[in-house]
Amino acid sequence: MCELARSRLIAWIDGELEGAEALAVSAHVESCPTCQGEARAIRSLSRDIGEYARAVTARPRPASYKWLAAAAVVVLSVGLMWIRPEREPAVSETRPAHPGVLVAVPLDEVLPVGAAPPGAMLVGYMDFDATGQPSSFRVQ
Amino acid sequence: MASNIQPVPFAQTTEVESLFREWRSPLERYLVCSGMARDEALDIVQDTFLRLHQHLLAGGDRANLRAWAFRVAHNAALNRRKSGAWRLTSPLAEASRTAVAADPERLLFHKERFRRLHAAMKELTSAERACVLLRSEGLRYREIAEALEIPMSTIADHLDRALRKLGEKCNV
Ligand SMILES: [Zn+2]
Repeated sequence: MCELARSRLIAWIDGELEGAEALAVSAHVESCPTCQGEARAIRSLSRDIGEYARAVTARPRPASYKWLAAAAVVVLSVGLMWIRPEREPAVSETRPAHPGVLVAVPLDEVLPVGAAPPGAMLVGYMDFDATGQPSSFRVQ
Repeated sequence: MASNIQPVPFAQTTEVESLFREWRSPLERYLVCSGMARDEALDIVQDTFLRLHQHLLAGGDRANLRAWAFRVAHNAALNRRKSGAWRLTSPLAEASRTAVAADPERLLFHKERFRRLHAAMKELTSAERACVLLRSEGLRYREIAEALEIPMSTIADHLDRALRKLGEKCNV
């Protein structure tokens, strides 16, 4: 076994140690095969966790930007506002089964270049039907 | 339903928009990997950016904004869980579907790895899981401590325990 605490090895890998402490751990790892193996395992596991997390959300988001383009045009014609709907009063039994998703979309992602003022955003509630397709968009 | 409409200065919106592009995926991953359904996670992410917008508009503290955003999202998720409105989902199901779409040949490999990781993640304490997920999004220990409102001196120990448990379950 080795005298270096594993939490310090992790902090060293993460670049969280400074100055003399970082140098001391570097010197130790260089001469300690156990810690070299540990460091490899920690880095590999960290990569796996990152891949897992990215895979979880790699599917397209339910709010389709293409679909939103139509709504964006409507809002632009009404005027450029930041629109913040009041939320449902409580998230208990009064909460509807499908309360919708609050969506904020940079307009330049859904409109042709130059069609929207720079930085403009569309904000509203997107509802979905049972198949997960967007069914309505409420800019209240 | 009452509305609350206010014009927004473009400069302000542009800053929020650029932060939105940078942080929405990390925030979404953090919430979904914590067990929240995708649409609810997106809802919280949007809400976080509306609050960030209001925060900046009101001249709020600009230091450590990333930790601020994760703290807002983390607390919103906690509140939903307490209120019972949090629908538990399986990130594994999402991950498997993604693996199929992305690379059929590696499906089995991914599936097995993700299955082990997912099972091991569920056995972590919520603080351990939160630390390991926030670290995975590149947050510094100082930011993780701020986001979770726990002492910075405990982060390395949470990570040590979390990675140890995950490693035991996942190393073939
Ligand atoms: Zn050693």
